[in-house]
Amino acid sequence: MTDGNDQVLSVRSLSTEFDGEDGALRVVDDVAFSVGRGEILGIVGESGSGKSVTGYSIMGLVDPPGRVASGDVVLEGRRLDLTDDAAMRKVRGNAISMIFQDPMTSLHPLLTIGDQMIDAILAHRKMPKREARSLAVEALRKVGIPSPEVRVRSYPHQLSGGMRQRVAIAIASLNQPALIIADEPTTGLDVTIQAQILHEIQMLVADRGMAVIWITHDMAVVGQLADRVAVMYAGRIVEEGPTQAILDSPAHPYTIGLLGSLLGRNRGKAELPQIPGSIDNAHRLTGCRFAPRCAHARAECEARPPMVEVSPGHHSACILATEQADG
Amino acid sequence: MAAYARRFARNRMAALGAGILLAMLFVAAFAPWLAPQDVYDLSTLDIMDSRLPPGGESFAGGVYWLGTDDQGRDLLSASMYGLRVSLVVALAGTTAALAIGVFFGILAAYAGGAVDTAIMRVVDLQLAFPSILTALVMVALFGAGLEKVVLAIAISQWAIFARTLRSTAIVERTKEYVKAAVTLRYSSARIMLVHLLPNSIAPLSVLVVAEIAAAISLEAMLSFLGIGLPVTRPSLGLLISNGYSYMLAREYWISMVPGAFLVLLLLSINLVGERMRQLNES
Amino acid sequence: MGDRSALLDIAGVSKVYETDRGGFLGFGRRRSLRALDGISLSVGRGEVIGVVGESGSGKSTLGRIIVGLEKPTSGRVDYRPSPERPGARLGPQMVFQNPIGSLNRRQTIRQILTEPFRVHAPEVDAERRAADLMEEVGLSSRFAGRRPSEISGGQAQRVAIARALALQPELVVCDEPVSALDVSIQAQILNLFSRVQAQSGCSYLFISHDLQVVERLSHRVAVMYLGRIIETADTATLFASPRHPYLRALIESAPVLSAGKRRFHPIKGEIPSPVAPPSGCHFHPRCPLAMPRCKVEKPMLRDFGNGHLAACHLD
Repeated sequence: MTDGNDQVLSVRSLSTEFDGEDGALRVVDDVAFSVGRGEILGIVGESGSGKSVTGYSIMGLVDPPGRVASGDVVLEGRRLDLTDDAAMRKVRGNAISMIFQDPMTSLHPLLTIGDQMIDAILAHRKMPKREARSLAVEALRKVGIPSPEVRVRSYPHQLSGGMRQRVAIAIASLNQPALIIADEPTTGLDVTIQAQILHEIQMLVADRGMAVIWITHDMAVVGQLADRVAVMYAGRIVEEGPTQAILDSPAHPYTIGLLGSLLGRNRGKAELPQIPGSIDNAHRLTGCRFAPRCAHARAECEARPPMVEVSPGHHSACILATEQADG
Repeated sequence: MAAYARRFARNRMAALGAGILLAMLFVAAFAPWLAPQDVYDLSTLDIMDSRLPPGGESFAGGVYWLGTDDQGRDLLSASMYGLRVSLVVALAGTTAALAIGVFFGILAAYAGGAVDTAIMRVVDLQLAFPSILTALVMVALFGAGLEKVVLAIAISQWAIFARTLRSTAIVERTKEYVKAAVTLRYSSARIMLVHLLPNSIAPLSVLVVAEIAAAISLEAMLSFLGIGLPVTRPSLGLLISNGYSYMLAREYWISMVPGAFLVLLLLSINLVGERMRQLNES
Repeated sequence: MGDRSALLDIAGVSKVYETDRGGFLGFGRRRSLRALDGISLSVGRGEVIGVVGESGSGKSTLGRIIVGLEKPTSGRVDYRPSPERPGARLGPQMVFQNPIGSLNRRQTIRQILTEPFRVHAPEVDAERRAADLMEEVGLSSRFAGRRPSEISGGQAQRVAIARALALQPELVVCDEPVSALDVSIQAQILNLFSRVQAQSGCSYLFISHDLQVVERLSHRVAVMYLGRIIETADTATLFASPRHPYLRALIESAPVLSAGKRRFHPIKGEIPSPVAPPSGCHFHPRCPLAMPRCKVEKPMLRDFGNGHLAACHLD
């Protein structure tokens, strides 16, 4: 875990529920993690893992029929009340920013990017518009957009996908946030453009010591970008720890299965190993939610396995890890 | 189906409208058995009973709940039969319009190019004329009568169905399941009927309800003007028209009773249609 | 090129789209978009050709032209299936990117899979064939009565594959068939592709932006940039010794699981728009090794031995 003083965000007991026809569904179930200054935490999961909802919950962006049921969130030493919209407004776009998957939907189509950036600045600080405009141009220059003084007057639809995402990063970093949450920002972008975006993020972290939470389904990106990784399945964190430790010695059957099924791991093999079954109904289980698909499932798995440390800083929520740790 | 009904009923006004509409459909369907008097059988009419106000007593001792008209017809019964005629004519006309509109709409969307342009120009032309004008032209050309009214309704309504269907179908045509059907070398007819049409028809269900109401109104207008249905099978419009001359004599019920039936019918159809549109959008 | 015995032979195919005139009152200049610029390619029987490219490369347009959804503006597309195969007259089939979107949501799975037989082979027992197909792609028969909205992406793609194979085509064009699926499901579907290809002996044209996917399945790979093939070779050679700077940058930029944390050093610049492509070699504005010649002269594909072709002025 990160050192207390350097901790930017600490999350404990975060749970988010969605009301449905069959009662409330826990899409995020008792999640805990922390991120430090200059650190990139990758949250990895597939559909239904709850990774995006986790990001939205921290930002206070969960709308009915969903709601944050519980959560002990501390940002730079101050406790956040995720349900207090007025308080969260001051934090959003200021101390914490978010970048979304599709910049076409997160940017206002009818305003120039200059106007949107000025809005973002003036929402949290008082200054003359001219000053805000030059801050905006500088921010665009910093993310590598050519001729920013001209581009600042463009509309989002006039820019390419990669450029739009850079604008989104620029907007997110305008008010010098302590933390940026990025929700699948490079999914769907070309590989060479993705490399550019990842480069920009790395620069931001190196220059300003920003903390970043990178939410994705792409293990390969996380492997090359993140310092630490949390793997989510059906609303829970099943494993977390330093990136290399997780890639080299995964300690949870889901992580092992996931890594095992990736192309990068199976270059010579005729058949790719695959995880049997599907995620259906896992959210209703109170015990281990991966058990129905796990080859090692036992009677004890009907109780929720605790998170145990398998090596320094590396934790896994599996009964096998508990046994390994014990001896 | 049941779930849809439950969602529908959450709006009290709409539920009330649906109830009234169902009642009226029931009455229209079973009018010959429900109506106290067979208004088409001239032998049952007694001219001495004419122009009795609502609640008036007949010579034979029965009560005319809603009064009688100038020929001694019980207005309650006449209105029930009139409801039946109005609905049958409107449904026939709108169904014909639907058939024509769907045919041209799906053809325009699938064929594209010159065919699409040609059909859409005709649609534009048709929609530029108010339906009453179209109907008047039809009557001027072909005369009055039941079939002519149904035709007038069909001619004035097909265009909106064609255009609405074409809009949806044009979007569906770009989707991958249609491309798959093309790649599998399915015939154009099959692609249009099995693939495009079922996936494009949803917006029409709400439109149909509104157009039925419009058809009822159109027929009522034509009959009121005397160029619609023949006197032998009076629709609500004709009954209203018939009683109009008695308004000055303060025998308002002869016009108002069928008028109230008409208003109630249109109101309930509109309530139901509006609620369906609401549900469709959410 | 020009391989007479090949199943599919494409020579000099170009595709130009004319855009609307725009401008003031519609009097602006008509701009043309050159999606494909002189593509030549051949696919042998039982061969899997991978086509790799990013946005604007024209790879999807190429796929659509091969199956006949679009016509080329110029050039030749020759498809020569063996006449004794039942699927010969049907032309190449396609598996699409959006699994659920490629199925008619008003039909049940059973209807989707019996339809090809009812239309083209009414004499066979369509129900039985459909059941066989479902088994072949690993779909339990309990899905037969379901609609596309009631199944997952992975299951839908299995149905799409079954449908494409129903009449035993000799060539199947797969346009980004696993991009929309979860990572762990991708493994299942790729396994299915391999198995089916081995059993049926049909050829694939596998289009993807993902190098690793293409590397796994293909015998040979063609790399596209802005409407042109810039390099092609058998898979092992292509990835072991890439020649074209763009291909090298592509391989370098792609995140690799085994390599661990690293700094990204991407190539600069955006992928140009096909409406206004750079002169000469399309890649020259972004190429770290560009020479003056590259701006002027379009590089032709040169043979570096063993069927390894690259379009670059460098030696």
